[in-house]
Amino acid sequence: MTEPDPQTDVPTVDESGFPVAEMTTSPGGPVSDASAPPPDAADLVYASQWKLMGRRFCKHKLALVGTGILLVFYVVAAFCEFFAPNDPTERDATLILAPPQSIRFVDEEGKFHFRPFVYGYRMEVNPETWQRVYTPDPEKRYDLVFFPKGEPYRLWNLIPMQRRLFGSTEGRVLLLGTDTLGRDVLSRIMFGARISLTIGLIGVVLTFCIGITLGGIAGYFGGFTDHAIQRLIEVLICIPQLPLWMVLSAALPGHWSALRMYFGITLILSFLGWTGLARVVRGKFLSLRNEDFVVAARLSGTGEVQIIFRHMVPSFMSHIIASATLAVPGMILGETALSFLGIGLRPPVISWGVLLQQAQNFQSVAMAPWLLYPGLFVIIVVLAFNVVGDGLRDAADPYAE
Amino acid sequence: MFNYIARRILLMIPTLVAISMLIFFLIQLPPGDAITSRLAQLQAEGSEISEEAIAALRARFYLDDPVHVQYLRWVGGFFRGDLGYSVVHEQPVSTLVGDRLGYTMLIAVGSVLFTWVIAFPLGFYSAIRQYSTSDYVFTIFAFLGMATPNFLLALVLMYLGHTYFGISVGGLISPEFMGQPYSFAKLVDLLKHIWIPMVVVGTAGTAGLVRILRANLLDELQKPYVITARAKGLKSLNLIFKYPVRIAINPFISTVGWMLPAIFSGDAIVGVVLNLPTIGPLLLESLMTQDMYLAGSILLIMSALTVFGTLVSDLLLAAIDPRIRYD
Amino acid sequence: MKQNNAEMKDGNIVEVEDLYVRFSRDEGILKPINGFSFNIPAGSSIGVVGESGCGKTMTAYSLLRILPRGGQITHGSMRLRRKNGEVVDLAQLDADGEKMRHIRGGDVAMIFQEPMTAFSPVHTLYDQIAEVLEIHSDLSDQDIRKRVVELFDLVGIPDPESRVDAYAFEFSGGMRQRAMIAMALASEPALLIADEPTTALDVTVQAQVLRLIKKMQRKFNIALMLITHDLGVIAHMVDYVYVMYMGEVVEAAPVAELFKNPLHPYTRDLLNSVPKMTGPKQELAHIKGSVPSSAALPPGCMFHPRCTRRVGEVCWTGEPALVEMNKNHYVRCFIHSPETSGMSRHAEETEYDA
Repeated sequence: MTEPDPQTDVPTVDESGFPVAEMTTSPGGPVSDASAPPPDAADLVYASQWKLMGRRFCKHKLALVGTGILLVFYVVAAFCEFFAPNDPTERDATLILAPPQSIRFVDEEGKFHFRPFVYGYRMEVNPETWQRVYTPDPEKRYDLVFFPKGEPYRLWNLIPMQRRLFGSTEGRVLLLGTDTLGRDVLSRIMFGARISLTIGLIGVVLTFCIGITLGGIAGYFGGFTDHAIQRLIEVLICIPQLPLWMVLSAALPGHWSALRMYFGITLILSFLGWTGLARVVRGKFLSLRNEDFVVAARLSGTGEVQIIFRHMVPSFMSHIIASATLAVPGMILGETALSFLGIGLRPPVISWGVLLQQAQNFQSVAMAPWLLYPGLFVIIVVLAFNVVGDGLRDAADPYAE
Repeated sequence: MFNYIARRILLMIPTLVAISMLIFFLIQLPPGDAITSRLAQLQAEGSEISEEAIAALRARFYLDDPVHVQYLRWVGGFFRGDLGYSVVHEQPVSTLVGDRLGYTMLIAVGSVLFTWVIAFPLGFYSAIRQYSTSDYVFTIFAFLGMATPNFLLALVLMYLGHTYFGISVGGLISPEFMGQPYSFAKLVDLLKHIWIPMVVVGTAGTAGLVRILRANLLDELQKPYVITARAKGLKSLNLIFKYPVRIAINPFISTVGWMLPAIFSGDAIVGVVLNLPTIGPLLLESLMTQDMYLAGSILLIMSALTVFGTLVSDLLLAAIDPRIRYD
Repeated sequence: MKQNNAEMKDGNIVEVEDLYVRFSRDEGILKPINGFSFNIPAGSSIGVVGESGCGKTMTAYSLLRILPRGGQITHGSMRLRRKNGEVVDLAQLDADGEKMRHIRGGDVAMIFQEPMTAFSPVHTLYDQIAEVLEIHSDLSDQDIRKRVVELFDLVGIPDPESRVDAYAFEFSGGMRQRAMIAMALASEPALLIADEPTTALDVTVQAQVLRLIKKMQRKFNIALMLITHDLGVIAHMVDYVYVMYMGEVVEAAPVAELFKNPLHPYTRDLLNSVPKMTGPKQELAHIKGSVPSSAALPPGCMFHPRCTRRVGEVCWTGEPALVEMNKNHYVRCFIHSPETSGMSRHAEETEYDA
């Protein structure tokens, strides 16, 4: 159903063998030179909708960057046991709220080292405020290495392993500092990514299913069903989202296991998220119902199910995927907000919202601003999803320029 | 037009009924009820409570009535201005919510105004200077604004305010004015504090609105009626303001409707971070203490205000757009 | 037909000479108009005919200096005799300047193709039509109202008193186009450009609207430039026809002559693709292919890739000149050209390499 590109609509060679399209070469030049059609012109004519979409998407530089960022994040989240330099639950009472270490090449004496290193900490107690102050200790130089052997762990709780991506064999590497219990913030962010990023994805898949089903039913059957679903959506969007999420998650029993809690929160997030998607699907169904190609299919005796799944759904699937991508950030932000408030996921589960909870009061932020790092990652991921979603939406529009 | 208004107002009623039923259902969800958690709390403090006292309490809050009776009593109360009774606070909900709701609405109005004042020039400029440097800069800011959770923004503002400007950010009224009658000095003090939650709560909406206005205006600038208007000899700027802006402005009117829920959401979390005397933190507290009636009443108030806000923006839209009016 | 002297011929109201329009776009430079020349004698009507994408509408936009973003007049002149007798070269004016704004809508008015979307949906028709008078006349508000009602009456809209306050979407297509005509006539322009005025209308009202345009043109003695792809429309409406292909004139002739004796293969193809009501039954002809993108102009004769009557290599190496075959009948084709030179066609040759 895509409109042919005016460039490709022209036959490349006419009957008498004269070149027709792509006569960009100089007019004085020999004609035979101009006759070569662009290599992919024929491709474009017959390319499937998805191929065309991919092509347009690849033109969107920012969206590609966003895709790259998301890939990196999801890979790290998938193998966080390996990427994290430390055990995220390892506490150290001597390193409470220690500031981030910086990676150095030059030591105190100004000597350059080929191998990067970090300094350990020296702790002093401020005599007036009784606060602990950590400063880099040149005496403790930890060389950074790839694949150091450390404490044994199990990848995905299954595969026993000992090496991690990077770290030091001489001491703990704490590139983003420690939290109130002396745990490594960077490692916790990596483990938190696993929860926070998957909650968005699973939530959207659920949303997707509910939204398409209800939106499809409303748009396809119309009449009373449509009316009822429309009213339901209207009711749901009139209730402020976060407060409703709060009430719902407060209703989850406190004694639930971490896993059940995780799915409970995901369910709650999708319980409200489907309304937007359902509206899009409904609108598409309504407008497609009288589209010529659907009417044509119906007139030629195609069954209703076939019409829906062979003709209608494919024609707006790309749109729905773009909308779904744009819905992920809302889910991630929702989880973060709920956990931050203390009524979503709770420790010992590690998610970005749970991590940010430590930064909830102003004193800790003033004392240890590095506790806000999880927030930075939230912003990056949400930005990336928005950019990718925008790119997909533009690419999904077959009539776009 | 009259029919349109009447229809919209009538439609509000079933919506509100459905919302209140849904909320009532939700607050029944947690295991136990307000009394059980209050009892647990009292027992934890070491007080002995007799069976009769419990029964009396239950009777006082009609907890043993059938569910639909409880629902009708709860909703009926709203018509008499009785928003229910908080078991934990042992105070009527209306007393608890009173001032806080006022502050919330003040922040809401302020946020909407902030959003309009900032979003209009940025979106307008971005659209008529598409692909210019400023367009890119505004676009980046808009994306950042949409991606930043508002509580994080509040935290960062607090951190910056504390570390670099030495001012304490948070609260709405300085301690010295607490509990004092309203005066000019107190008002000034309030204004000094209240702009921060207004900005924090309004930022995401502003960013979104900049994008929407830009997209709509770009869309409208392509429309044939713009060419018609140009062919009449109108000055460019007059033309843009009279035609495309007039039509692209619709989302600004709708903001009144859709921003309210966003503001309540923002208030719920920013209020906690900034320690504001608004209804958001009260909702969180009520959920923490399982004071479900209080939570339900707050949620219902928020929803009712949202429904009302949507109505107002729908009517405003109909007033400026004849296509809706004549539909 | 080329005017070599810089002065304007007495009888003419518009003289366009060797007009080139270029658009810079991401995908390259578009070349919609390539040396178009024409003139319009005062009070007469001309037709510009061609398929979509031939540069017809861009010609109209150039005259009004309302080319879309990125569009530029790179060469040529467009002389206009204003209502006050002043002769100006529109190509030299500042497109957003005071003078051009007075000419737009004041001296030159335009009727658009889509009466559906050419009016703003949120302003009343009165609001939009009165605006023309607010800009181009000194009438008082009451006089403006009187005038707009009068115009509505003139173009045959029933009950004008109350209908002027309606919105465009309350009107049928034909009524909307009547309102559009009223708007174009409001300032009593010297030149009226009608860009496919009936294409979007039902067949039943097309004739009425065309008749109205013709009637108004005669009544106010306005010069008319009718842009259309439909030769059937041209026949009864105009005195002289320019056939346009890829931004240049391929044939120009008085209307009767053109129908009687079409010379250019393109003109013939166009004429053959108009259904005939009389004569023996035959398959309706069509022109193969479609207008190529103006980003890549074909070398040689621009029509050669689609032409069925090519004479030989010269068609894609040479550049046909416009020659006068009969009185006032010009054609640009090697079939009718005495010499077949391979000289470069125009000054912008370097752009081919871009």
